Amino acid sequence: MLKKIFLISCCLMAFLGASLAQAAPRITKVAYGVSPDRQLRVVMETTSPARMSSEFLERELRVTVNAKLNPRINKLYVPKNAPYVNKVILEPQGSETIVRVLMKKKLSSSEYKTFNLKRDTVNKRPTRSVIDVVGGPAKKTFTPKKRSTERKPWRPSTAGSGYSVVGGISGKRITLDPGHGGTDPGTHGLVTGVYEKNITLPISMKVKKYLEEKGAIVYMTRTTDVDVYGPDATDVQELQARVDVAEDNKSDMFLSLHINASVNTSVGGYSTYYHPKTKYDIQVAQCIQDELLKTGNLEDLGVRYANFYVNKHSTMPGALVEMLFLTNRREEKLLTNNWFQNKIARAIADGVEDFYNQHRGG
Amino acid sequence: MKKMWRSAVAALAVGLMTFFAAGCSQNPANPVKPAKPVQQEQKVSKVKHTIYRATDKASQKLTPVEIEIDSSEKNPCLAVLKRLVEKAPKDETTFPKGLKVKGVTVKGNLATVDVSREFTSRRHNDYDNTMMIYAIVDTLTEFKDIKKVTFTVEGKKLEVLGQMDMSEPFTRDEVFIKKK
Repeated sequence: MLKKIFLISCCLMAFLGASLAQAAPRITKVAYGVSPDRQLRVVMETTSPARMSSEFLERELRVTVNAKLNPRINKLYVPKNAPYVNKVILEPQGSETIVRVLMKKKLSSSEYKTFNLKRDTVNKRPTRSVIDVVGGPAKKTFTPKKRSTERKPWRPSTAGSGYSVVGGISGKRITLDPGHGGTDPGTHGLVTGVYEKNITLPISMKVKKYLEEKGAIVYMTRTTDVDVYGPDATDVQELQARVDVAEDNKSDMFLSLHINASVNTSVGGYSTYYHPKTKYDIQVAQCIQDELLKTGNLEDLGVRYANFYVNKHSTMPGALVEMLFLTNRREEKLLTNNWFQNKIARAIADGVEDFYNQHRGG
Repeated sequence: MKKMWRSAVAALAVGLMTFFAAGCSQNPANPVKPAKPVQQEQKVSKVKHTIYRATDKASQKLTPVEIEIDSSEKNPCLAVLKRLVEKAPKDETTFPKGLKVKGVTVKGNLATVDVSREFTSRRHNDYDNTMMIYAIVDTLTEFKDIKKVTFTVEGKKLEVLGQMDMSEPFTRDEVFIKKK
């Protein structure tokens, strides 16, 4: 008797199990797309609502969908317009499917999401499970050219390589490079924690405004918080991409704006660096440094020769300005102050104007 | 034969033990004798060198400091740099903590300095990077034959450090040295 009951219950359980498996969701179709703002979307059509759980590893997003994958669905997808994503792999695992999005960059939790869409009776769409992953930089201010990946050997520029210093500031093409950006924050303040990239950008935008008021044409290597080359660039690629903006716009001057840092928190002041590739570089640096020193009682670290990449590898006169120290408590306060940012920006623009005034007559 | 071996080994062991024991006990045995005579002996074979340290915080420049190294030193460049970098005063921030000079090789007038990976640990501190590089460059170019200095990190060529292009050798720059 007991045996019979056991057998029957066994059969019942098996039957129940089978019917449950029948009702379990299945993935019938998978579609991929990259939106204009570079979001990669994976849409899985399912026979009934499926649950999803996700985990992200260093360079991989792993979403487990409790739905069985139709074996006829292609298990590999390589996106074309999503530079951050290597490929998407679908791995059937029993009644579940693991979606593996292999990334080229580190992923943070805010850069992906998963959600379910209900059955759409109007458009006759089934239930869907969706994964959105950041596929690339949202806005591109500059498209790097192939040639910029290769290192250009440095050659001192010869006279008449395209730039002009005569005739005053009006109509001069000036490229401004707000230091760092995107995945590269630069240094940071010790009190507020503010990043260098988030100070160089507003100051550069202010310099742009003042220079334009003086009649110059201003180009920017970046106008938002982005990497100029891309998030996976080598240091050289990233710096060369900034030089390329100046070169491609046939600039008459190239200024890179940075903020200094030291482990010695008592160090502070302005310094302007040049590379003597043209006879004008040192003059540009001196004119800017002179104006900066008028902004207040701040240390003069001087006009200095340096092997800075952007100065050395560009062909037009220019300088790299180190606008105070974020590691100096007093200077951090000044740098985060809008009024003082304006003061620094105006000084730089005045310095540039002064340089062109000195060469007005040729 | 075997016996002879054994006795020879035993004798050697005893000999060694007494030798070491003597070596170890030398200091505590003569506590009154200061180290002075030893120093005098070595002083004869010492050479003077100028190194550059950022000890003067007010001027934010490098100050020349005289040091002495053994004249028997096989690689005086390395010995001088080790003193500069690894024996820097604790409050001097010119070099990152733990930075080691792994080697210096000189070919013609070019010195190649191989450093440990700490070299790149402060890459956003442009001020610190320039001070670190010129403390080394200006110290090494004190040697008569050295005119140019280049750096490798753990044997590998370095392209950039922060904003600095590291692909070509550095020459002496006295802008960083405090004027007398």
